Amino acid sequence: MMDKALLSDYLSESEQLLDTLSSDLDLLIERAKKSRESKDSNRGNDESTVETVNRVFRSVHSLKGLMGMMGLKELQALAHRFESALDDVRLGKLRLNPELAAIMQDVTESTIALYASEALRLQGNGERQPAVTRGMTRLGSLLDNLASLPRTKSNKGSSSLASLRLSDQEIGLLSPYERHRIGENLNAGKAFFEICVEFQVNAIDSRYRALGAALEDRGELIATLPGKSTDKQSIGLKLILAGKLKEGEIEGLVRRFGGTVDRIGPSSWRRAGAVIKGAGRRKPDHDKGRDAREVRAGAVGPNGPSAASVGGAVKKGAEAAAKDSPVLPEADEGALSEFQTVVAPSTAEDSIQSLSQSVRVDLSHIDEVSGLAHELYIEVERLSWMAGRMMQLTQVGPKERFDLKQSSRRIERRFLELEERLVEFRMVSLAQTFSKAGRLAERLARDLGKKVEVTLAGRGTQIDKMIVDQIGGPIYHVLRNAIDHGIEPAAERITAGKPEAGSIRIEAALEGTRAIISISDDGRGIDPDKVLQRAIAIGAVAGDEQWSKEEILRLIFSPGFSTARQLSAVSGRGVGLSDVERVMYGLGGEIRVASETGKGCRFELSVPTTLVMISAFIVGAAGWRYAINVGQIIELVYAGAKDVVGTDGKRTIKWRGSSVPLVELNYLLGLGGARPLPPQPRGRGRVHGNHGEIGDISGINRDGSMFEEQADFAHSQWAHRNSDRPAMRLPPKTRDNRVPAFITRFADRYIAVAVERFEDQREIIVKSLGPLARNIRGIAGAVDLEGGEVALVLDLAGLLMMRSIRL
Amino acid sequence: MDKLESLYGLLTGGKSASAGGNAAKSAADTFEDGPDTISLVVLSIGKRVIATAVENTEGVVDCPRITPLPGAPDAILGVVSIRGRITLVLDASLEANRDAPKHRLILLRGEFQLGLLADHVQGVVSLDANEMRQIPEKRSGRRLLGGPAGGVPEIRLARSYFKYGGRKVPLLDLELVSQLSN
Repeated sequence: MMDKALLSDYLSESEQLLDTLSSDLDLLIERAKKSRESKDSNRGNDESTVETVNRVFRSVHSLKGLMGMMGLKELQALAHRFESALDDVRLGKLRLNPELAAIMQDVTESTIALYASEALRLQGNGERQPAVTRGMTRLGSLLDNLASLPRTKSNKGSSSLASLRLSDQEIGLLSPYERHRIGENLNAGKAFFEICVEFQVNAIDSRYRALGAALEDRGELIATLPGKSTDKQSIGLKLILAGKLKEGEIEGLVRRFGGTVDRIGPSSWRRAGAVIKGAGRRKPDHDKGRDAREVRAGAVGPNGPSAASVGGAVKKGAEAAAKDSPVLPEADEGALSEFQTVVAPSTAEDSIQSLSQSVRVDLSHIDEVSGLAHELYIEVERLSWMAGRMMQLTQVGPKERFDLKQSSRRIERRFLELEERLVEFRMVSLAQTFSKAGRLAERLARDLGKKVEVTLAGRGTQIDKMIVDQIGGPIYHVLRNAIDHGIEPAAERITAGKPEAGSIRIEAALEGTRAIISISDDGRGIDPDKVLQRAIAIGAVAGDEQWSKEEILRLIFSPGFSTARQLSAVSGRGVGLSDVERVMYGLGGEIRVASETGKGCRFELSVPTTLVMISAFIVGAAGWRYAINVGQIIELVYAGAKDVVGTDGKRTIKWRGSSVPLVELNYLLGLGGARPLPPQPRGRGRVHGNHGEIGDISGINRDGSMFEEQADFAHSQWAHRNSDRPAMRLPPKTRDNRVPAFITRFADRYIAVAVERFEDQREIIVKSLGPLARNIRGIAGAVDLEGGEVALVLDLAGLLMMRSIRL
Repeated sequence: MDKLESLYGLLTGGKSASAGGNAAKSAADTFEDGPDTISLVVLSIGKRVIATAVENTEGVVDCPRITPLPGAPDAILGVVSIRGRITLVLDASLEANRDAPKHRLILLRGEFQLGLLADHVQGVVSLDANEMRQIPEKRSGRRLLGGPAGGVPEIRLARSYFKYGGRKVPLLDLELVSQLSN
């Protein structure tokens, strides 16, 4: 089994590569579409597109390397085929157009899915699932499609090279890609320059990068060839630059690096065609000679040319040296070897390094540091308090008191800032999730023969990585529903006076400490009458009840609807909307829907931006204290006797005119006995008739007197989840012998959870319980409280599911 | 030497070791361990004695009040906070000695955030690796680590043992412990 730390590193690196790959493919698709719209066939040849294609190529190449290191040979072979096709795109054999981009999109998506499955398998050391084998076959077919696309003859630039003043040997050293780029730039009417520089061996890396960065916006740096060197401690380089500029524009710049510039073409008087043809024959293996050096070198990136480019030049120099060239650098073997070690390792690891510009840190390490910072903050608070007490007991002047108070406040503020910054480290953007959603939408629309325009907004919105990892499923589910059932066929849309192409907008925005992700479409919307009919048909609601439109729409989140095929507007694939809601609830979020028949539908997914630093309400139960995310609490109540209905340990309470199951937190935690509650009477507190066992509430009132008491039902104001984390209001405690309970919502209904006591609301840092507790459901983590006590942070949805509470 | 004595003091909580039996050596002996010698912390839980490798331990602390962890494996009593780190408390005696006064916690190294509950630490012993014996598969579970027969599924936490004070002392196997989450 692979070393876990190593695997974690590979996966982390892969995530970054996949992120880059997804974004770059989006860019290419967009450009391919624009190119077609504007009928500008040359758009795919602009420098930014060329660089994007190169990045895609490099990402796939690096992924291929990672797959090999992880032992995923089959996937690696498929990635190699994809890489070959991308190489054809780079070399101009395959012209970038929307159709090609769509296939590349499918290939990438399949690769990502298979890679994720295989990575999971490696982590768990399990067997490969049959679905993965099928996926491999499908990916192979997609690559067959890619391979069967007609190729144009590659522009190797052989015929055009004659117009450049390069020696036969230099031409022989050019890679197919470099030749292609020369040809493309010649066609675009660019001027070519050779820039000769000589750098000391010990400074060549930094000097070369600096030169590359300086030339970055002057043109395309196509190749770096060996140049002349005057002593053994130096290496000469000849850079080939193409651009729309004059010699004088870069002379001063190059002189700063001690170099010279000379225009080498295009020119009609240079080079005989025979020389070029001979050069083309001299290295017939060049067409297949793509190596890591070339992959990494590519064009000049934002940080200038990579060290590998220099290494490539040195390698070329070495090759040339073998042919006794007069232009060889005269570096001795030792210096050359050392240089290659420093700047040109030709392994896949190096290609990974060249793409990574950040330090990777395991999330658990960040959590650990966050925990330490929180500890320190608590200690500082305590010290401040003690200092205050000491000052009261001693004769300290007002100035000293003031200074001490100010100082302690400053430290406290700094610690709070520190905590917040550490939480930010966990934040990642929704870019990859949104990109995938966009691709999914386009593919699904294509499969269904519909026309859909997808708009993505707010993809840079950052939320906790743990949430990003889980929010994809709900987004994709809603999106599938929108395209499958919301967007009408073109003919129907035209008849309805709508544009032929449907419109879907996926947008993310921050609202305080919550992120709102909305998915809206201009389709047919959800018909509330049909929803109600269906709800009555499956027994979820009684036929004689009055429902508002909003209440009816919420019925689509009840389990019975997910399989209701005849009601296509709300049926889905795989998990139902009830499961979507459950996932959202588990994240401390919620899902809302709004619809206007005939005009469209809008789903809104609201999630906290982080699960680490949360607003929690502390409660007591069975002699212990527990923390609950306030986002999961609808209301705090004290239940009096007349509000509790049921006997024999089976209880419900009346709450806001509804009958709501009452369950003891002790029972949910497995700390107390339980007997099942009876099925609930039909009413607004429920929407369907399936009930599981619900624990008794016998522990609520230990002396049994509560149920005979006449008391008012006291409740607080609505404290529904919203963006500004409102403080939970404790209900007025008018009499003794009332049971504190909080109302929460699980799936499609409300439930009251009785506790022993309410404490207070506070901001907490949720700490992980570690890998041994990974499979424990219902507990999100733990938090240190004063006095060294630990409170478990509850995941109410998980607890309710674990205790077989069916709602 | 100082380093080892600190370790020894840490492991024993500054109390004198009550190491008994021929296998027990002093801390100084442990310091001179050869390549085939292993150092083990011997601790007692109720009537049981078990051991864990010194290299797997971080220290010994008094165990604070344990918060029960619903849904945890039987051998996990709950969680505590040690120096700000949430730590799962492992009771290798299982339910046989649940009422015994366990008040020391041997903090184990690694990613598992785990502490081993004990009545007290007997000492650190050093022995030749050849003295370790394999526990037969069927006997490597609770019979050696405590727990009555029947009722509770067997939890295997040790694969080997050694003789100490005339009795067989199982060695806690962290790889087996890591499987508790499955």
